[in-house]
Amino acid sequence: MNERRSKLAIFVDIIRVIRRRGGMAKPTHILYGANLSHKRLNQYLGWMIEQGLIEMSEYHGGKLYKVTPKGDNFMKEFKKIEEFSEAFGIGA
Amino acid sequence: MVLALPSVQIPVRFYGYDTVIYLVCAIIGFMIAYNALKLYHTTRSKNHQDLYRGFVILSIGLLTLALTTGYVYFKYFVYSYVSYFDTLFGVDDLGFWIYLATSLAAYLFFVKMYSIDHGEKLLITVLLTSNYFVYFNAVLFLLIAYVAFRSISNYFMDRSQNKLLVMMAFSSMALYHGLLMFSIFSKVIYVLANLFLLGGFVALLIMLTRVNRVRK
Repeated sequence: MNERRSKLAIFVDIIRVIRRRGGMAKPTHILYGANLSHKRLNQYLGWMIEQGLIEMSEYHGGKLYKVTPKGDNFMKEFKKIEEFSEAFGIGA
Repeated sequence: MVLALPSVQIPVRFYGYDTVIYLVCAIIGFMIAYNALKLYHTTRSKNHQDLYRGFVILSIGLLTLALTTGYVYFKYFVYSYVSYFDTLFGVDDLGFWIYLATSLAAYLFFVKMYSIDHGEKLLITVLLTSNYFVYFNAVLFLLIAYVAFRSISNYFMDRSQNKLLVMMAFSSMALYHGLLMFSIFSKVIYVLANLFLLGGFVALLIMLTRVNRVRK
């Protein structure tokens, strides 16, 4: 398993956690849901915001993360790739 | 009447249809390869790279076969003339041998894809033993039969429709090579073999369409 693979898997996990929380999630929820350390969580959230997959908004002094349309497209593409590889029995 | 490949019997009424089948299979093969490349770019996984390499090489072989048989049939129908490089070797013979070589390489990649732990050893064994086989198709049949067997076990894990289509595809390819070995006895077997090949690639096309369908 290489660096890029695990990075992609974490992106997917973070988006799935946000979706499970009804489309918006606090950093703590993502931290536990995606099973990340505080340092790595900030790193990944930063990357994802940079790539436009999620966006951050302020709410009662706290932070909330939301999946962007680009993030939704990313998940659709990932789902296709996942299904394709599963069909051959060589999961993504 | 037998045209081109001396050992394979091809019915006159089937001339040209096999070219179309090879062309369609090559196009579908390139589409699968493109999706496998996207998969590999996402995951950087070795077995995804093997899937991509396998389908690219197989499609190149099928395209070569389509072009060479097409050329021979064109010459035959337009000029009533069979093309030869020399008196022994036909243009489509060259195409067929290129196809067999590319198929061997492609199936080795598929075998490697399904044998992550023992892939290297298995490849060496197959390459060494293949020297003792007189008929190339027998080696190809054994390789693709192994891949088909793995896809059958994969299907029975959760019986999903996509896995069923991949299982049908690899099984049809195995039947194609199996039947081709016996096409020296009957022209009907050659037609049947080609229909199995087409059926296999159509199954892959259906799987690809299902995977890429628009959904919410």
